[in-house]
Amino acid sequence: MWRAVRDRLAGWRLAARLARTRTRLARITAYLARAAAGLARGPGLWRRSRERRAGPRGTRKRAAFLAWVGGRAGRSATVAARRLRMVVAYDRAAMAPVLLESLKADLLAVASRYVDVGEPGLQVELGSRRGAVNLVVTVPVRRLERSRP
Amino acid sequence: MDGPTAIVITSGKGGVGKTTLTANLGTGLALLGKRTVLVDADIGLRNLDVVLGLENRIVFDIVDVVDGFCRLKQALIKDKRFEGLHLLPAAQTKDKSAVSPEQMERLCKELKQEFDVVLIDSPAGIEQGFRNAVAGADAAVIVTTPDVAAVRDADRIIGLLEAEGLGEPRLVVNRVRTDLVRRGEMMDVDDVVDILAVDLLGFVPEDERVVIATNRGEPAIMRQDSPAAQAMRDISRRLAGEAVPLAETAPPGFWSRLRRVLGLGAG
Ligand SMILES: Nc1ncnc2c1ncn2[C@@H]1O[C@H](COP(=O)(O)OP(=O)(O)O)[C@@H](O)[C@H]1O
Ligand SMILES: [Mg+2]
Repeated sequence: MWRAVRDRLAGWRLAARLARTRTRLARITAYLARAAAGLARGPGLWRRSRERRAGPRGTRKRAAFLAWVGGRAGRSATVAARRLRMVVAYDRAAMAPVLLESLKADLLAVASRYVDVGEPGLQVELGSRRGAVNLVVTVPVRRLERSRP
Repeated sequence: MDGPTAIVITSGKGGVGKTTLTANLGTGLALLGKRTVLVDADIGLRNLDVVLGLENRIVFDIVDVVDGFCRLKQALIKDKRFEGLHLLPAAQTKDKSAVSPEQMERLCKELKQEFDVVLIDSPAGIEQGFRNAVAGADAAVIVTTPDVAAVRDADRIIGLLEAEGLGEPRLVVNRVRTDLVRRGEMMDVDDVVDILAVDLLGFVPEDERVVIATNRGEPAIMRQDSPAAQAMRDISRRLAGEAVPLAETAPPGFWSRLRRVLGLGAG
């Protein structure tokens, strides 16, 4: 009886569709769970989500989230758009990638004077959205107080 | 559209559909009752004439006009199929330096006394040919396809247009494959508009009927069975100043419908 039903329902495409929908649902649940955990931990998430609504970086995060939930995150269109945002930003800033590397080194040196920087995680990115070019720097901090030499 | 305007159709990257769009939008504008002249500014690589199916009627060309070998009227080819449509062909044997930006400017001024719309088909690239094509223009239309190379080049051109005083170009995204967009394997029009940060004039789906019509030297815009033709008719009307709403890039799938219901926008 179960076999008959399954045979009727099967067909690769339907199965694949269901599987995709299931992963999406799983992703949404996981996200909501994390969001709830964040809320339980305190006001941090709320503050972050307000910033998100305000800035251009926020729209990018939302777009990335929607792409991810929709299962489009790894699709070539998403990859193309992300690569283009970078390359167009460099073109507009007329900044060669090598210059960005030396900017990275300088930023690292300056930040290290104040905090203990976890160097491997340092990220410097030019991004463009709605015509504005942003320099986004992420400096992972290992310890807040720098041990004086 | 108030008063006569010269509009340059340009792109940066070649093969994205500038010539096709110039021919079809020009036909569309003529059908809307605008007196229209198409200027082929791709000197040395003349092809607007074959796309329009007027290749057998050329006597003089743009270089003959600016050099004073003939009068402007003598070089203009009147398209007998469409009332009000004219072509000023490029020279095939000269190179780009045969015309200067100043000469182009004077030529466009003269054409605007006779016509409502001057559409200029620009060559690919950012060299002298491009500078000639934009010299006499009052407005610019950027053409791109939704691929990384074409969009990057379009961004460069937008920068150059700003330098030429054509600061608010409008964008046409051509050859959009809705099937690929839906599968997430081609950037959608929103992505391209967002990256380039310019106003969208419209998008044209990939459509083999465009190729077939062009083979015959007939403007595809006349075909009633073609989604690309419908899109180009809408774009012509927008160029003429009508407010025509933009169509959907692709029939909305489940997730975009859900997003809209949840009020999350297009993402
Ligand atoms: N919407 C479309 N669908 C299908 N083919 C197209 C479309 N637009 C242009 N083409 C084809 O693309 C090719 C290049 O177009 P063309 O107008 O010559 O580009 P450009 O002038 O920018 O170099 C031509 O073969 C043309 O028929
Ligand atoms: Mg061309």
